Amino acid sequence: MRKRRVVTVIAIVLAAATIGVGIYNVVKNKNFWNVSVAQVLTLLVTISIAFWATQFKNDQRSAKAHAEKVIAKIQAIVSCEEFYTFIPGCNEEDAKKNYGISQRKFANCLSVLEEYGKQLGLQDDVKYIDEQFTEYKTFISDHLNDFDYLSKSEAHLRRLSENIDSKCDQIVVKFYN
Amino acid sequence: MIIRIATDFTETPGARYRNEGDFSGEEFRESILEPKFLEAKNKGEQLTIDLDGGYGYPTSFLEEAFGGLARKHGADSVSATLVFVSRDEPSLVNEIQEYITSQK
Repeated sequence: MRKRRVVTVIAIVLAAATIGVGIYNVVKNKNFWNVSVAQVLTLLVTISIAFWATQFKNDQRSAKAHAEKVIAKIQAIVSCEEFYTFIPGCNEEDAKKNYGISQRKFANCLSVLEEYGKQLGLQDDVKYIDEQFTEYKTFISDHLNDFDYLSKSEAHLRRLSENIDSKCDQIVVKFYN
Repeated sequence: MIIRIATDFTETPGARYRNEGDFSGEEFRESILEPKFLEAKNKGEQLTIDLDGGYGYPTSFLEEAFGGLARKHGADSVSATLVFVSRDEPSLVNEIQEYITSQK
């Protein structure tokens, strides 16, 4: 917040100084408006290049930034102990509800990541996460009423969760290489 | 015609078969989905399945309910009659359609 305020103040000071210098030139320098075509063209080319340089790959940068946020959400879901731990004798109805909600959350995040897959060259990575997630949800779905079995399968579920987590890390590393 | 699973059946769908517990895919298909499907088909109408409002769907519930319906009445007939709505989890629609078309 403080950093943003400092940046705003600096921007205002620079803008005011630029306008001040401009006004000073218009008033004091009699030849200010006497410019050659070459000078105008030079200015236009410089501005165009500067604009292109700032906008180049801007869309991709934004996509990567958003994809990274989605990946962080996915990692938060799979890292949560409730994702792979089932305790026999607990309130199973509540546990099923929590499982259903986190599964839905994961599926929605994965759909967003799939949208970015082609643009950012992540198709294979997203496909791998999808496969691991499908294996996870199929396994739980097949044993949903047997918490005893699910609790004994923690190692298997944890493996799937860690596979997804590692793949997410690999995707983020790709963004910065 | 419309079936809202969360209000017409349950907010917490269960496993595949009745013998695996309450609110199974088999129970949903036999008690609600199939009768409504046949009614809609006979009237030449579409049957909308609203998937929103619950706590998520186990894959085996969906496969047994919709894949099971397609196994019994044919994938083309089921695809032509059922329309799915899922704002909570849009990817469910594709998933269910895959369960149906894989029965062809």
